[in-house]
Amino acid sequence: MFLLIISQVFLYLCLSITFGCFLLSLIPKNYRPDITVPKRILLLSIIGIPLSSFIPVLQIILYLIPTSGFYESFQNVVFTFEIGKAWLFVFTLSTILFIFVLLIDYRKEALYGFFGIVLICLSIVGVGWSSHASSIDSTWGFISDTTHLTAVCLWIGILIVVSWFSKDSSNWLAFLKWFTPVAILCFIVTGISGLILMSFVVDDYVTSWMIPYGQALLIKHLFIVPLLFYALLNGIIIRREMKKNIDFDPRPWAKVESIIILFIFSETAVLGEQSPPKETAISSDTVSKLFTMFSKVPVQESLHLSINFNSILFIILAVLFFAMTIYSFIRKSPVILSILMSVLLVVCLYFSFILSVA
Amino acid sequence: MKKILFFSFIFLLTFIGNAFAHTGLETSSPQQGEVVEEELKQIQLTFETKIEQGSTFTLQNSSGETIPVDNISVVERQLVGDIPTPLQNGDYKINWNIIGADGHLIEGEISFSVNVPEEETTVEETTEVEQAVEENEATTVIDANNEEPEQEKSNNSILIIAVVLIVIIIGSFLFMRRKK
Repeated sequence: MFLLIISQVFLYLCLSITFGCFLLSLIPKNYRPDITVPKRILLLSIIGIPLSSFIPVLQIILYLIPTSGFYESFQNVVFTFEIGKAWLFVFTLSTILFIFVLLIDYRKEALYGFFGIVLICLSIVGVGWSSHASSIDSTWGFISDTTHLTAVCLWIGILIVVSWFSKDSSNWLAFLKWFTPVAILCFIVTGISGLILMSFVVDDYVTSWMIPYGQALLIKHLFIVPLLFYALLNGIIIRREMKKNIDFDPRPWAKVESIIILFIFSETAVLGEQSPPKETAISSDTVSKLFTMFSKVPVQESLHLSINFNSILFIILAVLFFAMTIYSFIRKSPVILSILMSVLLVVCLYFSFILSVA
Repeated sequence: MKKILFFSFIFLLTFIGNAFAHTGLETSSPQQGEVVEEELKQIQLTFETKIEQGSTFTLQNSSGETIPVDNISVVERQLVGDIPTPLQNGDYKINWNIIGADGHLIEGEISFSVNVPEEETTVEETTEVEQAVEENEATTVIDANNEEPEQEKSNNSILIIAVVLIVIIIGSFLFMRRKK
């Protein structure tokens, strides 16, 4: 279970980094900071794609071994199961991409970059193919899952590569000029496709909080609050700060944004391993341990929100932590403090929502 | 990078232990809780999405013995198996283990009983009613036990959490202000 979740987070990371590398190689030098992604990092991310997407396949193979032996189960799963066929597709693409990057300098010509982008987009399609949503609705579930993943990888890929692999913050303002609208567009697309995906699997959002899937979804959504804050900070406030102070280094704050994304990736991975609300009967067996730990509401058919003392208390605390997140930026405190404040902001928001269910 | 890994590790730890408790079953024959009054020849389970080869189920009687089922086969969303010898009257349980198209291993169980009438039909009804009464009692007892002390406990721990968070706010505020 744990390995499965880690592997999925790693998969999203690898897809994003690879996507980001190829995309940025197409951007003219004066519209981006000077970036050097070590070749081994790129190669590692490419290998990481089939490796991490193999873990769920391996889980099924291991499950089938006792009944039909290793060779037969392997063959069965990889060649006949949906998830196996999807993996084989991704594996083939990554192998081509790996050899391509190993032999050719993809930064030399725009065409090479395009080739990389096409392969990575197809890999994302492969990952979307074996997703839960597409097993429920093979057309719309598949389309929205793939769109969701593509938009996220596009946005986060660029963000991660620029924030972790740029040599300095040269051309940062020129970079922001095109990246801000791209990020906004990706965010909107991600949001809409996410809502469509949700409509496939969630009937009643608040009621779903009782089961692990709903819990993960709620926490994922709450992390969007600090994400948007840092996106705003990076897109607007940093720009102003840089015009005032030439020495100002914007990269730590872009890194913080990518770390918040890591939390969201983790929640997404958890979602992938849980049974969605539409297929889960709520009972004492299926109820989330996290939910029963904090909510005193007995397991019941449906839940709704009702404000009470505790929920207001935690909303106030959340506002205070939000203020502290801003304050830590103003005081130029270490970024780790800022991350801590925004994580605690999410914790407070979580309590506020969980304690207000009835 | 180490810090990030550490953070996500801690974060993920919260979620371990949520095992696969899915119910992807749409309908079944016999259904959960059904009393079968004719000879049962086939068991059919229909799931909400396509299931993969390797999905299977077992049949157990009330004393836990496994009863052989022939020709278990997977067709799209259905899992079907034949029962070669007529079942004796009594309670049975189907344990199903399937692989969903998205690669999730899902398991569940269905309880049913067989009561093919031979001579009298009045006996079964009373046992059924009795069972229902027993179940009801059992659930109410559990509820009454659970609620009150837990409520107090969780309310206290919530207050403690709130106080700790307030201390963190004040602490970090002072820390940030002192710098420079």
